Amino acid sequence: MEDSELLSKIRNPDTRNYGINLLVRAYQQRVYWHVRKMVIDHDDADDLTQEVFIKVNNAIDRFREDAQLFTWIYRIATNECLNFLNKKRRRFFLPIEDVGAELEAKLELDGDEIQRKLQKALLKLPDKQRLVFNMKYFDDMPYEQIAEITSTSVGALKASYHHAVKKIEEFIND
Amino acid sequence: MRKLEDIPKQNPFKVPDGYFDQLPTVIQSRMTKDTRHAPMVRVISLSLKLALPVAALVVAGIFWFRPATTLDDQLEGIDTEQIALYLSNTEHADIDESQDNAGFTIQELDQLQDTIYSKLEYSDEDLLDDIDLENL
Repeated sequence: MEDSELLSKIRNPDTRNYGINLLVRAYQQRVYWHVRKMVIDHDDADDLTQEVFIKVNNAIDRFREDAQLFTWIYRIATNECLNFLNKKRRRFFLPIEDVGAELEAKLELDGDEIQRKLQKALLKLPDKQRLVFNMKYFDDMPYEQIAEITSTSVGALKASYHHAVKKIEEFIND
Repeated sequence: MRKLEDIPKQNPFKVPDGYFDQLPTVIQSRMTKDTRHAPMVRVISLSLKLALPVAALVVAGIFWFRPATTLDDQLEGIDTEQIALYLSNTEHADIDESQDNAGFTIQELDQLQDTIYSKLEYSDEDLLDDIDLENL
């Protein structure tokens, strides 16, 4: 279903609940995996995904279609993740780089050794760099779309991704 | 040297079975609950946010608009008996000494004395009755 059709269903009071249900079904997996890769733990990702859609529901009447619906939802999800990680840091009085160790304790992975090593390497990255890396590497998002979500220039994103790859390869080969 | 492109892209995380089938229902039931409680929660949180500044303004207003107390007002609040008792039990200093210590002028002291005596509910006759004329 096209975004415009979805939005018109949401904006009509008679079909609003149905429209929201369709929206959640359309975007839940992408939002969940985006969040999960950032917060690692399933319960945290579950809470945050619910929170993202509640915020989407509360703010959808103000969505002016300047951006794609998906970009707008991703932006809300990204803010939720970054706020969550900052709160976690404040709660445990952790310095910026140490939240990775906290998340690593929750890392229960399937897969071979190299996948585990890759995930551990990702947790060494600063939150925003990890976010950019995830969107580019795992979601194959174009830089232009990541730029819209993160309000960062394409040049800065390219540099950030390049540095992230370098750090990951160093960690893997260590 | 192993490169990132040598590593196959995999999602190493798992979710509980049927998680994505149930998630829309869970989210929609939370949305309904939120809508039902939202106005009340907003009213309570707004009240709490406003309560402190309003209380501070009220207290400041009370102090700001409280009338200044004069000597007459202070004397009004003291029982006549208490004043009489105080005067009878206190050794009176010499007028000049009092004046020096308190920094009052003679006129101010006269005014103060008149104020005090005017509060005593004794007539001249009452005062004369209290005097033991035989032992004078």
